[in-house]
Amino acid sequence: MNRRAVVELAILSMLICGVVRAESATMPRDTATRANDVKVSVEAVFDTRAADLFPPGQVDLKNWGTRSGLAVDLQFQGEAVKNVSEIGPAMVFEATDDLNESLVKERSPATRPASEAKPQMYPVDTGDAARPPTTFARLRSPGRRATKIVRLRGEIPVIAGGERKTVEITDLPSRFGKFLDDPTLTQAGVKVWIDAHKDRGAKFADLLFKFSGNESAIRDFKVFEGNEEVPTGSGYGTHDPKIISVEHAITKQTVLRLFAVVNEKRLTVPFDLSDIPLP
Amino acid sequence: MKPKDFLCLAVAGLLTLAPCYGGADTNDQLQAALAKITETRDSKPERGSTQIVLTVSGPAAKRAEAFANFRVDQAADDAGENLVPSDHLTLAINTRINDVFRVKRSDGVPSFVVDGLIRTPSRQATKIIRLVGQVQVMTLSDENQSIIIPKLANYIAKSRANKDLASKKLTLEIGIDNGDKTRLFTNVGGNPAIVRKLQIIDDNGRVLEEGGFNPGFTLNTKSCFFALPRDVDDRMSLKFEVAVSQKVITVPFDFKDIPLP
Repeated sequence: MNRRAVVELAILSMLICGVVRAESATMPRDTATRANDVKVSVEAVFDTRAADLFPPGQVDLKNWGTRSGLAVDLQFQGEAVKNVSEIGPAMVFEATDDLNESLVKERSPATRPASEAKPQMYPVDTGDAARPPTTFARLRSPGRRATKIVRLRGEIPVIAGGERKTVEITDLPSRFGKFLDDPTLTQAGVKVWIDAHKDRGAKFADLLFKFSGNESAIRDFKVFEGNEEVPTGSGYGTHDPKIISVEHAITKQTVLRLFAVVNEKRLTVPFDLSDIPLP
Repeated sequence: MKPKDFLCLAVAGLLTLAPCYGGADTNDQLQAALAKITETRDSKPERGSTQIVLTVSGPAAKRAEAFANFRVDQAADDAGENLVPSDHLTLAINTRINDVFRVKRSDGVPSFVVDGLIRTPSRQATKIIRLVGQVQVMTLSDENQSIIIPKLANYIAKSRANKDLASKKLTLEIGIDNGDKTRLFTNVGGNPAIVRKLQIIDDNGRVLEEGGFNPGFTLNTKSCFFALPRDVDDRMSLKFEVAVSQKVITVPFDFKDIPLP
């Protein structure tokens, strides 16, 4: 390859990288609708300030106890966020204290590559309908002499609306090793494959799951033997296949109920707040 | 908090600690050093607090099992704030009995971590000028003794006196899980910190199941779960391994000019 071709290739590579990067950075926000008419306010501020005092090298207590950081609890109200089912942590683009120090964390979602920026969403406690939904922004702990956050700007990812549906899977042993064929799961955009460990004895079983597509549409599961609910482990785990331990053998009478949500809306709620007093 | 609630809490706290911390000795087998300070500042100031973490080191640390009564007699910051904890913090946190968390020191001296709370310093403060207090540590002897509760099935869901347990200030509750007689749970109360092991044995002394204690910080009750190979019956016994003796050591501390984070 001659010198000119190398230079052209390098320029082309930089251009491609630039384009890809620009697209990636906007991707997560493009998939959601902006809800501009939502009022966001500060509910509480927590400043955790930790320091190791032991002579370095003698005892390592870095992973013991809490780390330094500022958390701002945000609550929001508005027509667009009625029936909120899930909220993510606030993505902070700007945060400055009155000493002019930036409080944005180095690894804040806003500064991460788009592939990592997909926020972890948390289910909303719908027990108290009068209480507006809340989330939090994580920031760096400000200097001791700072007295307020001068500006806090960002976005909150929200999932609202949607219809809850129950998918009932009967005759479980005949479904093992296959994807479940169910119209609700298709509507929710998720494929679910199930199987079981065969060697857990007469009293226990492990159900194995693999998901593809919109896994977050599956909100919960329950296992029944006839009409009686069977105790299960609390969650799926994080790696495929995901495992639920069941305190009962799986028989033809065992029923798996998956609770799914269909037709939900993904929104982002922008916020721009000023002069938040520090505790 | 209403005065009546405060009194109830105080009585409950004293009753909880009485079995473990009857008489305390002060000696020089253990020394405290400052390890970490963590301020938790809240927009509702009454909810804020500051955690002081100490390492306690010395030969006796090898036999330490629990600590309690983190008492602060003097604490103030350089902005003039008194940081001695409120009675509420003292009763809720500092008197609680906790497991010790062992840490490895580079010089090999046995060491563990204890912690307690003080009030949060003001934002203008830069250091704590003085922190004086003490913490009590319970150590157990290396030697163990066995206590055997025979005819286990007789104890299920019944309150029965046992003089061997009573002599160690221990209480015992046994239940079956969801009607399944192969699944037993035990709650050991009173002074459970001295219990090192719990086993279910058959009439030949063979161990059928060794119960693991649930992990947890408070030692007011130790809970243990057993999955047996067959239904519980009268040929099974519950075997306790307990420390022969226990001792309470008071570790004083006095620190000056602690920089605030």
